[in-house]
Amino acid sequence: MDPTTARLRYHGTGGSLFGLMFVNALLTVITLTIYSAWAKTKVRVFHWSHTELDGDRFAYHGTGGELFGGYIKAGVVMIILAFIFGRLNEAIIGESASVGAQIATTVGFYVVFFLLVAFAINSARRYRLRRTSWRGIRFSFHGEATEFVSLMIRGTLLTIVTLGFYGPYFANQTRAFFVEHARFGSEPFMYDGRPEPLFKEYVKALLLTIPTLGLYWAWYAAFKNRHFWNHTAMRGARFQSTITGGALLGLHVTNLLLVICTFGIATPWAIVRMHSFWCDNLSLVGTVDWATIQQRAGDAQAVGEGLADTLDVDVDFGM
Amino acid sequence: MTPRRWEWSGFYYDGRTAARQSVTLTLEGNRLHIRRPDGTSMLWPLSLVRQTQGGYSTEQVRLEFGSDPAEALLVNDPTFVAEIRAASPVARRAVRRQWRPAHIVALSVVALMIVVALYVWGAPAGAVWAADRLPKSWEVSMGEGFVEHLKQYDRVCADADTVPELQTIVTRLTDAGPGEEYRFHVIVVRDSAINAFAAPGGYVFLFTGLINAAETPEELAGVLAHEIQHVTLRHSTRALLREVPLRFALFSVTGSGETAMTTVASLGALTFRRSDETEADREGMRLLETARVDQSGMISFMRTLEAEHGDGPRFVRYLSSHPRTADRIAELERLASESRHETQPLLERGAWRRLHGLCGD
Repeated sequence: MDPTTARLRYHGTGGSLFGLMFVNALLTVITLTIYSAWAKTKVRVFHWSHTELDGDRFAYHGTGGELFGGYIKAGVVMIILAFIFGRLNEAIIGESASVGAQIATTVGFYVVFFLLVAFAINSARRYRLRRTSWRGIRFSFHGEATEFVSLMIRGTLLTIVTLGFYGPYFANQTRAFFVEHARFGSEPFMYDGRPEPLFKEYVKALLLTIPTLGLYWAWYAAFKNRHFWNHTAMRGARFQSTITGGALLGLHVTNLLLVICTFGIATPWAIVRMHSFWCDNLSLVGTVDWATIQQRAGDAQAVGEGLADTLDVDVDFGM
Repeated sequence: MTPRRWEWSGFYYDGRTAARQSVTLTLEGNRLHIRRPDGTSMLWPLSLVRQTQGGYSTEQVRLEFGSDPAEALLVNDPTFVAEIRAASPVARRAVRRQWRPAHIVALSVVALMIVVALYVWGAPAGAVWAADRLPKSWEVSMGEGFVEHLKQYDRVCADADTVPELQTIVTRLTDAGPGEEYRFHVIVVRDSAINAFAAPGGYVFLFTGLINAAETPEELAGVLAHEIQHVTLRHSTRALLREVPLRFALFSVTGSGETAMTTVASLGALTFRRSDETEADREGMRLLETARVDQSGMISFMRTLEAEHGDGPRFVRYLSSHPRTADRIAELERLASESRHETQPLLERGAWRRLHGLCGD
């Protein structure tokens, strides 16, 4: 059989997204922000159901109630932590204690914060993929929090020690972790990207930063995107990204102008343009016998999601 | 009457594998009849069918049935929604009408009107209700917030307690005032603007620009009486509470870190209503009368303000939140003509001159 290409397409329009976001904003205000969990879920449902792969739309099954419960739990965790560190701080100041104790508390705070962020990223991914389906089959994510946290600690420390040069290796490892622990039904995704090409491009971008006034980083971002997707496979089919640096830069510049010139009113249109851009540049090449891909049981909690939001972590869906 | 039979095409997913099956749909009573190409078929009672997509015309209509794993049906047929909804009340409940831009716009307008109505009528009414029930200690701590805020910017230069000349005027007014409801603190702020304002809980702020613009102690007393009445009548507390919903709304939309309290504590936050100003004018005149202070001071100071109104933008600030000065003067004159009270001078000339040089201005 010849390899076939399954295209991604985005069907959302700026007008409908604007209506959705406008009503969301009003309801969020009226309900004193309580509605925001439902608002966020509605926007996600919108994006998923307007994204098409090989003729079929994705579906998002998360609910606002779940997300709200996640916010509440995350809020409780944050309050407890704030209380503990507040007390610790008071105790230290009260004793006019040693500089060592003060540093220990500060470092302790950042370490706990870092661990929470790592945990949140991992659980948010679990939640989101578990609540995504295509052709009736759920995605899932099986990354263990402990494994991801140790990956994050090692990667961050090595990146700091090597003055950033470990960064591309770290990014490649993170991507491998995300892809290899993701599944579509019974079917795992595979990643075979090597870090070396990414490192070479990173060094090139560093060298070209000054001559290109930093604009070359758009080409690095495009390279990274192609590298990540072109090495992501599932049952013999492989993703293919055709993003170029010039197109990416053009998109960001025009979107920025669009948003600024309309005082933010055109934000939904900018979002739609971005989603269309990602989808237009991504496809799945190869033949997959979809009938052999089975549904898997399992569930995920919305706590990580709430935590990620409270900590203001931007967890991208990887599209 | 037998229901009409329509036929639509769609895709069916059994929820166990990712295989796509082309199917034909028909409606049989209140059940959806799904026929596969191999001749097998299923019946979905419409009352158990959930619609999860298809609210927008750019979406496919997606119907789900059962759970874990849910079976799904995707219908691309653009006529499906309108036709099945026309078939029966059960179908109308199962399948939603698609949103049209007009619906979204209409809903947005209604939602916006509710928000505006809540803010325009709800917030002031709520503020009046809450201000009358707020414990005095809360009002006092709100007022203290203003003092702290000004101290941060090194703007507070004196407290009336430490300026005997000023304290004389304040005591004359508060002794004649409506009892021990509030303990008044008059605080002098170093600023050349002709301005004064009242914070909740008895804190009155006098700008040095206003002290210097006053020609007699009676003029200053007029302004003070007006501000004291703003506090006593809880106008300041109401104005502050009126701000709360808007601040909260801004906060929830922008999510910015600036807390509601620091914004409210800024000087520009307090705007009184016209009726509040008129009331404070009237009650201020009454307070002057009881305190045996010459009421003409209040009127002449208003004249000074009116005359200098066009002089520069710094006067506009004091005047902007107030009713038209000419109207106020007319009303004040009417009130003054009604009262026949004895007056006692406030300060001797030397003391008044010392007050003018306060804070080195």
